[in-house]
This record gives sequence, C-alpha cells and structure tokens, in this order.
Amino acid sequence: MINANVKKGGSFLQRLRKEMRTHPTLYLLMIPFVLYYILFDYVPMYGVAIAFQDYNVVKGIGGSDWVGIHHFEKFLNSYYFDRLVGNTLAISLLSLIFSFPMPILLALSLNEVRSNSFRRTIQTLSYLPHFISTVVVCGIIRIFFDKDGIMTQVLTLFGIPNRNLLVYPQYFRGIYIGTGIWQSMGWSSIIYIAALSGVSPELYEAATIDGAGRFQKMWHVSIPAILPTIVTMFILNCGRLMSVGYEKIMLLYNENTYKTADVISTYVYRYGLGGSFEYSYTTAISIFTSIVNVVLLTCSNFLSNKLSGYGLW
Amino acid sequence: MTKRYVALILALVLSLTLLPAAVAEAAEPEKISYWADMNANMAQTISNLDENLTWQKMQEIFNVDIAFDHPAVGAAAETFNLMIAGREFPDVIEYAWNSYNGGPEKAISDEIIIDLTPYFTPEIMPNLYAYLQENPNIRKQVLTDSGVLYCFPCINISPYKSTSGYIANTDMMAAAGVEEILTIADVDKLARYAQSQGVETPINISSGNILKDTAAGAFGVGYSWYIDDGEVKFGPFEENYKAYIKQYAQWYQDGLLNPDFVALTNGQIISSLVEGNTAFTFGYMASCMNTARTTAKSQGKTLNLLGVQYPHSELVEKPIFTGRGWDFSTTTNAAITVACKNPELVCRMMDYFYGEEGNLLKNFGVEGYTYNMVDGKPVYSDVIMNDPDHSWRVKMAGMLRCDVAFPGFIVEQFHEISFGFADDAEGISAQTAATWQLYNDYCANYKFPQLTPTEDESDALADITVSLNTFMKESIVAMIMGLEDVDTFYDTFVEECKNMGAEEALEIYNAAYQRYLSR
Repeated sequence: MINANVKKGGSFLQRLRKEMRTHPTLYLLMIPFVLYYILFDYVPMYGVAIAFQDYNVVKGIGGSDWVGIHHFEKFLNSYYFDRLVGNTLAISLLSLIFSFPMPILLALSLNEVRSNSFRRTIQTLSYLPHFISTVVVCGIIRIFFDKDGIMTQVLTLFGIPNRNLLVYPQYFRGIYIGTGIWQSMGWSSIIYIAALSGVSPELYEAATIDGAGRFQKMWHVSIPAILPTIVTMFILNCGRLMSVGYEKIMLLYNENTYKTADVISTYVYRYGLGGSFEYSYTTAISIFTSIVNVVLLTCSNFLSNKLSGYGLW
Repeated sequence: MTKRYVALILALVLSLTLLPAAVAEAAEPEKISYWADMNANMAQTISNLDENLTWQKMQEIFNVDIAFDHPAVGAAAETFNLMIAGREFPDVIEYAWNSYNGGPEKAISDEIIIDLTPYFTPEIMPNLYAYLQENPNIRKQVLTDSGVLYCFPCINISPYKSTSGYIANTDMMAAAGVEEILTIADVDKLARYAQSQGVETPINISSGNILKDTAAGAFGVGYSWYIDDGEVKFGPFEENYKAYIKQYAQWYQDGLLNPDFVALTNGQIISSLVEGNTAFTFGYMASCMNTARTTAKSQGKTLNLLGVQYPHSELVEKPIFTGRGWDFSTTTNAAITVACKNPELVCRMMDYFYGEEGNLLKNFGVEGYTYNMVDGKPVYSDVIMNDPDHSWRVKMAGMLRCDVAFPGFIVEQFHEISFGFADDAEGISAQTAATWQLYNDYCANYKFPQLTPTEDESDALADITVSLNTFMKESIVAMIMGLEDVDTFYDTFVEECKNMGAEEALEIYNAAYQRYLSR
C-alpha cells in the first residue's frame, strides 16, 4: 500500500528516504518492532557458531575449538536418524492434512450461525483447551485413552480393543493429532473468523439476488475471501514441518511407541539428559531442522505462487 | 625522661590506632556469598536461606554474614550455566559437581572451584577428616580419581539406603500358600494362584521398574552397566540376561504381568492395589505402599500389604541388587569457588556439620525448640511435626537442612519419619523397611559406582549411550511383549548393541573404573 504512492525509480535508499518523508508516523511506529527483531532474533544469531565448534562454556565462543561440520555429520550418521526424521515428518504432515482444515471449517460454520449468543458460547468453549497446560492435557489424555477410559470405550465401537491405547504404536499418531485438533482448533480459527468478518455484506446480498444458496455463497464468497489467509497460514505451517515440540510427545510416549513417536526434539531432550549438556551437537541439530524448514517454506511459497497466485512474497 | 615520654606517647598512639581495628575485627562478621537451589518445599515458608534456622545459628557460631542467592524454583540448571558462562561466582556453590562435564577435576582446572585438599587436614577439618579416615569406602566415593577433595559431601549414614522395593498382598500370599517371597518361583506361584482367583493383573510392575538393575539383579546380572569380579560388565553380554527377559516375557504371555506395563503410572498401581487387582508390585514406601493402605482404609476396604525382599531366581543364591543408593549423595554438593577470599574459614565452618553438634544443628535444629532429647536420642518437636499450617516436610525444608542433599549426614530419623513409622501401629512400614535393606551390603559389590570419565570419554559415552539406551528399552520391551521371539531375536539384539558401540563404552567405563579403584 505504501509502495503504491511512491513512483519507482532511483536507488533503494533514495526511494526509502522519499517514502519516509511521505509517511513519517508509519515508520516511527515500525521502529520498536524492527528493534525487537534486530535485538532478539538477529543479534543472538552469532551463537550459531557453536554448532561448528567444540563449545565449552568456560572458554566461550571466542576460545572454543573449531570442528567444522563434525556435529552435522554425527547427527546424519546417528543410529536413529532415519526414524527420527521420518517420524517428525509423518507427524507434521498428518497434522497438516487433518488439523489444518479444522479451524477453517469451524470458522466457516460459525459464520453461518445466526444466533450471536450461541456463536459466542461455541467460540469460547473451543478456545478453552488452548489455555490448559500441556501436562494437564496429557494427564486427561492418559485417563481418556486408558483401559475403560471414555475415549477407549467409544473407540471399541469401531473394533479397537479395550486396552490402554497409548501402549500401541499404531494408534499413537492418531491420538496425538486427534487431541491436537481438540487443543488448537478454536484458537487457530480466530484468524479466519476475523477474515470472514471483514467480508462486505453487499457481496452476500448480491449473491442472494443472483439466486445463490448457502453452500454456493460459502463456496463463491466466503472461501475466496479468506483464501489469502488460508494460503498464508498453509505456507507458514509448511515452514514448521521439521519442528514437532517435545513436551506432549514426552508425556505420552513409552518404550513400545518409540518407533512411531520418537521425534528429533525428544531425541535432543534425551541427549541432554544423557549427562553433559551437548551445546554444540544440539545446536547443530537445530540448525539442520531450520535449514530444512526454510527449504520447505521456500518451495511451498513458490508452488503456491504458481498454483494459486498467492504467496508470502 | 623525654625519650621515655616520647616512647610512651608513641606506644599509646599506636595502641589507640590498633584498638578500634581489633575491636572491629571481632565484631564485624566475615562476609560470604553462597549460591544454593531453593526447592518448592522450602519456598513455601522462606524466601531466602537467611531465614533458615540452621543457617541462622551457623552464622552466629562462626560470626559470619552469609548472603544467600537462589535461582528461581526449577531454573537451577539454566541459572548455573549462565553463572559459569559469565564467570562471576559467589564464594560457595551447591551444585551436582560430580556430573560437571569431565568431572569435578575439570571444574577445578576450568578455574571454577578450588581444590580443597590443602585444607583437608586434621587441624582445619577435623571432623570430616576423621570420618573419611575411618570409612575408606566412603572416602573412595567422595574423592576424585587423583585423590582430590572438591566438595563438602552429603553422606547417607542412615541404614535405610533402599527406599523402594517389591510389595505383595499378604492375604493373597496366605491363600496361595506362599509363606514368604524369597525367589522368583515364589512370585510365580503367588501370581498364578491370584490369576486363578480372578485377579486381573497379578504382577503390576511398570516398564521403568522392569528395565532396571533391581529386576535384572534377580538373575545375577545388571540391567546395563554393573560391577562383577572387579570389572565393569554390560548386562546383555552376560549369559543370564536372556533368562531375565524370558521370565518377564513368560509372565506377559501368561497374562500375569499387566499388559499395559509400558504405560503404567504409580496412581494406576495404587488404585489397582486398593481394588484387589494386584498381588505383586514394585514401589516406594510412602508414595505407593502406604498411600494404597490409607486409601483402602478410608474406603473401608481391607488391604494387607507388606514389603518383601528382592527375590532371586534359581540361577543365583542371592539377589545382587537392591534399591540402595550410594552413601555419598551426588545430587548437590557445596564447593568453594575461586572467588572465595577465605577458603579456610569456609572449610572450618562447613566441617562443623560433620561433628556431633553440627550434625544435630543440621538435622534437628535447636534443642528445646525444634527437637528434644528423649532417651539420649533427638526427637523432632511439635514445631516441626504438628504445625497447623504446614506438613512436617515443609517445616523441615524451611527450618532445617535435613531433607535435601546438603553438606553433612543424612540420618535415620529423617527416613523413619518419611516412611511413616510413627503413624503405622501395625509396624508394617518398619518391617518393610528392614526387609528392603537385607541385601544392601551385598549389592554394594555389584552396583555401578559414580565414576568420573574425562571430558573426551564423556563425549564419546554420550554419543553411544543415548542411542544404546533407546535401543535396549525398545528391544527388551518388544521381547517381553512377544513382538520379537526371545530365542531368535536375542543374538541379533546383542549384535546390534555391539554395532552401536557397547564394547567401546565398556572399555571406557573399565578404564574409569580402574582409576576409581586406585583412588
């Protein structure tokens, strides 16, 4: 929007100066955020150096020995590398397929609800799980999926045995993702609800006059209106595919479900518990996952630009 | 004459200038800074150890002024690392120095803490010196490989070194005709009888307590690293290991072991005990056995439980492991840093805790206030035991230093209270506690000691053991659950352990153990 007012031409700095003169308050407002990112996200980045060192707290970054890509090689050659990456990607991809559409569906259906009080109640109820601590959520999951637990009893109707379901490796991802939907659906839907509330009622009126039904209005008005938001969220999610948090998995997995549940972050956690703090090695693993994430983000952005015409950049 | 006057005046002036200095020296307490963790129990009644009774008395006795600094509750490790990286140390730090990467000697060569050996003399530290002289086994645990004293150790002198163990339902034992549980065969008999009576999960032990020395010890092997015949051994490489896995696989197959043992919590075990669905389990005295008993009582159910000894199989005469810990507790130990200006004073002060008066002050506080002498033995008073607002545990944490790893001795009275001897009219707790200690001394021959690998060694070990531990847990559970057949899979399992570097780790541990032996 700012760009629209400024004629292209001159060097980058010249254009910037010109823009700043036109919109001084906007740039003033931007300063704290730029400072935040410089101070907390860019300045500490010199710390990635320790991934290429044999970092020792006492010697510091300046004094530790350089070891090149030794730690990266170590991780790539580690015994469980394939399984860790495989599980991480499997959990992420399944979440993307099953969890990602849920908040959109919730937002679309709430958009159709006429009664304001009913809508607000549903919205508030769906936010609630987001505010419960992971430890408590996992406690609840353990009880629900235990033998004779409420969820287990429901699932026995579908031919699943009445046993503690957390014991089985084949159900782990289902439980993890299913409960993940319950936890985050309401909270993630906020952004879509906000986008839908910005749609001009005139569009719906026009569609009604043209003889569109409810589903046609949803398809031809609501969805196109929030499509940029959906695409943005989708691309951002693709950029997190290699990062699966350790907390919930640590609290739910056991020796028998390692084969489907053990992910990179839980491995790093156990590595830290294995005695000494391995700063260099664990930093190298984080950098590895970040690189893969950046690649995935760039690819999905590129594809999205090609296919839908929307993209982050 | 004038000369004499001059001399007199000079002497007077001199002594006058000295006098205030001397007076000030006696009155001005020496300042010491002290960093220690504050746990949640302590934080309920105090915000700083300066408010702690034991430390208040100590500061009076030694005329010192200690400035305590605490990390936020639960953030000790992070705060410690920041402190080390920033190189701004207080005079004394309580930390798990034994697990410092490369061992405590590395912490000395990194110029964080100092070598206390020069002060470890009968003059400066008479109490600790004499105690370690009389107890060479504990001396070996406390000193480093090259004989350096680096901390003021916390030493468990209580006979109750094993705080957990096997628990059986005595009514079921009587009905099954099992008088005493001594062997795995007795457990088997009890479980099979219980099963025939409709008990759902006769053996209710979680995977954490099956994949453990205490379970493997029944077969004369350790779960992973242990000592036998003066060298470090790795369980899976030993002959009897297969029998250990086979036994649990058998129990699983026959439906005696809880099929959900991998996802079993202490709470589930307790409710199963109360419901009469468990004949045999493994747990702690207070949090498992006694909690189950009081729960049953409050629900009007009869539940008779008793701790039984660590059973052994027919392959060995005695169980080689109990739940005992080492006498020297490495959880946290106080060490003097390079920043300390008067280490000798700190040494003299901390040595007080190893003497009789200091031991009373650390563990019991002040006579007539927090404890009274009954028949020559200290007994906690109502101030600790019957506070209207706080439990005894919270009061102890706030007023004394007896419930945490702290320089000095851990005494039996503390364990007796935490085991709930006083509230147990039937004496079940006392009987259980005694049974669990039976093979403690024997276990000391096999238990893996607190070795201190060098920095290079510990890096190599971290690489090997993280994957190896995962692999062992996973494979053994798979064999127990019958997902892999023990007979066909076992050799592959051992071979894979070797591929993962188990032999290399064994060599490193053996080298470290030889250094340990020659301490």
